[in-house]
Amino acid sequence: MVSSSTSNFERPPAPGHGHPTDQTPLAPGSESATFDRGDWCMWALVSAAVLAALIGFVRTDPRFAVEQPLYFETKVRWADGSADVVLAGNSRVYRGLAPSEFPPAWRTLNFGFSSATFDEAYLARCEALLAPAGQRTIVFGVTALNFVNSPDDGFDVALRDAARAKLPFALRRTFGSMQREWFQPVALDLLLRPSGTSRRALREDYVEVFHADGFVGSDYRTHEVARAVESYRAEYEKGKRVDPALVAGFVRRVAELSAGGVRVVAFRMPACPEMDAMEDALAGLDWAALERDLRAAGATWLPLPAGDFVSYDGSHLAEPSAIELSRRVAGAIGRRR
Amino acid sequence: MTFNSLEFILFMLAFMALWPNVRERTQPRLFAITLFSFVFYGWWDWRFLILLIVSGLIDYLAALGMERWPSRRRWLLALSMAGNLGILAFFKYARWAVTEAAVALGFDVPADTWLHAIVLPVGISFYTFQSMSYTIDVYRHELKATRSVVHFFAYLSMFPQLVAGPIVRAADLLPQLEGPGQFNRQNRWTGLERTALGFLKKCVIADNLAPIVNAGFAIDPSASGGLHWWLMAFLFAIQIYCDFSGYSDIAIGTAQWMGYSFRDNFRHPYLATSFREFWTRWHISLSTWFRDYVYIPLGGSRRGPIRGPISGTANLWITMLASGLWHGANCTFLVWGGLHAAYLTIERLLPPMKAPALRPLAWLVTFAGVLWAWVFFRADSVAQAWAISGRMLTPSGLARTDLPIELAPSGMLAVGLFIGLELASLLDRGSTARLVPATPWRFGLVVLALVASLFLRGPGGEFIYFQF
Repeated sequence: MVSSSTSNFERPPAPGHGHPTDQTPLAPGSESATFDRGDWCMWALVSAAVLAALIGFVRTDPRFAVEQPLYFETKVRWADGSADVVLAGNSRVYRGLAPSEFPPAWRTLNFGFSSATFDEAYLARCEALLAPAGQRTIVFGVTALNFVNSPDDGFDVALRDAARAKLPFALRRTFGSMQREWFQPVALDLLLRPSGTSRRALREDYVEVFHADGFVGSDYRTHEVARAVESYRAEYEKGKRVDPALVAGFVRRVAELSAGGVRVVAFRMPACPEMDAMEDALAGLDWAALERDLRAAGATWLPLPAGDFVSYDGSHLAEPSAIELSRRVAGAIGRRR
Repeated sequence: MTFNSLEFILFMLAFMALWPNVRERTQPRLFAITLFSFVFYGWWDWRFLILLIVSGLIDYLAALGMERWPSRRRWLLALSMAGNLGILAFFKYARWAVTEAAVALGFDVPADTWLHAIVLPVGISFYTFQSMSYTIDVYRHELKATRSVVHFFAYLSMFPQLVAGPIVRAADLLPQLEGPGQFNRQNRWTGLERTALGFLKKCVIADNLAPIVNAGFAIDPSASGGLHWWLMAFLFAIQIYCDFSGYSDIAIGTAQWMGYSFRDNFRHPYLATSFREFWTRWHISLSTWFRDYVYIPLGGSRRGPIRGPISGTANLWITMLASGLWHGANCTFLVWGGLHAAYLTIERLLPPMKAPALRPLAWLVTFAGVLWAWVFFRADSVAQAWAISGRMLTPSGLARTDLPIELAPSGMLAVGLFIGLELASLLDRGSTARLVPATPWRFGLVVLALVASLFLRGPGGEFIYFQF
């Protein structure tokens, strides 16, 4: 900043080095002629806006056509009889089971909702989604929270939102996604890696992809377990507990489904060992009794070794583990048929 | 609001719609600039706006007073300096100074004192210096005081440069604001090109490097080697340059779009082959401010207790340490300024390396020195910086070549883009402030730069120099 002599340092900037008054006019006949043809500044801004819009269109991969704000509403609008296999549960299920890993001949849909409880309305809708003939299978990824009454039951919330919406769904799906998704940055690090895909990173450390079949592939770049376990623990310590009536109602409904020709498969949704241990201690769900009662009701219980899967936040599986779990469940269903 | 936000895009759309309709008439033009600038600044926190207005009014009234009561010029200048520096000292340095003093004296400073409630207003160092330069120039009879308070605040708060520079001198901008500026296609195009370049530097290069640098500097120095820290210093050097010069480019480009001109703030600083040259290329508006208002009034290189090659060294050290402290209330910035003062002092004592064959060596030494100094600038504490320096400069540290941080593809893209931009800019004869033609390839690059800034932006976020 300060030099040894008065030369250079104490001299005004050299001409041509950016002083405001140094704006020498452009050479005649070249640039001025170009400018005469129109306002290039405006055209450049318009072109950039158009190009950004086009990129927004191109980036909308049909496979990832369900965008987040309408993701749950899309699910509640699925038509009756549109699935052979329904995957049911809460966020651990919609982030943990990928229908794409089930045999293509089965129309498999992930009908998971955040904080979904296995109440009568939800179970009835699961059954209604099944086609009259074919596999007619419901897969329940069970967690203790499925039996905890919650005002934030994602299935109920999605139904309410769908009923309240003023604009037609198709219109909201088209233009809503434009507004919300087009300007999300490209996940460069995923895009540029050899194994990368066109997935979008919605936050710096978080990647999630919403699939049209109901699955959400997600992962943190840095896995963080302890914070989530503590936040769940705090909820339980405030008094959140499993409602035995919900458990009994679920077992009863499974028996009805089995009796009606629906194949029911259930298993404990994997989470991290710390989360399992904390929920076993605080949630109040007797897993052995539940397994026994479901088997008695006609369901198939899948034993899944704890520790085979990786959770990025303590409760939700990282996408590679979700794919692995989906393959195992699909394989088990196929073998036991 | 920040330049890299949706709010700013909407803000600019509103301003661009209004500007052509008000720019020809003096009062509406000045009111529009002031109003929009106040909205721009108050977007962070409207209370900061009060401080800006108070700080500005001190200088506006002091300058008017100097013309009305010439015999009291010196007192009015002292009053203005005390007001400005007092506000700056309170908001920027009080907590740090009291805490450091208390620690030195062995006292505990509770975490819930009023000191900890002080919030550093965005850009306070920039507008305070800008405001002070006005008063000093009026005091020196180099500038006539403006009678219009709106004219003064249009200068002081003009939104393109308000929060992170360049520090625009009143003598440059006040006369320009008296007229409607050169609002023509050439200026609009050149301004847009400069703005697009700034967004590319900030959003794509600096913001994609930010998470890598943050992760890199979070590593325990004892658990890493010299290669890691030289790489981190290199990446931080690119990040801070693109972050800050990107802001300057957006500011200069936006002003040029309006028809006004700011001086350049950067000229390829990392190509300097001496530290003296580095300071004629880095943050030029600040370095010339310190030159004109601190170094030369102290006597420059001509006056001092010592004669000979190190004449004026004390002035140099005072200036560089003040410059370091200007950046922030932390000893790390003082050491950074001190390191550069030491570089410049040593450079005075050594024969210049002017032979063409020595220029690569001169460049390497300068660049390495700048990188090492950046470690102090970026580190959380002097202790951390010293520990890192130990890894960078000792044989045991340099022997370790493992890299605990993955250089993500986005980081490599950012480095490649930086090198490409520097080369392209050199081939384009360097200067970006002159008017540039709207050729088809330039048009294409501007469009691509704008779109890339949107879709390839990194998670870096706020501009680094906002904290200063």
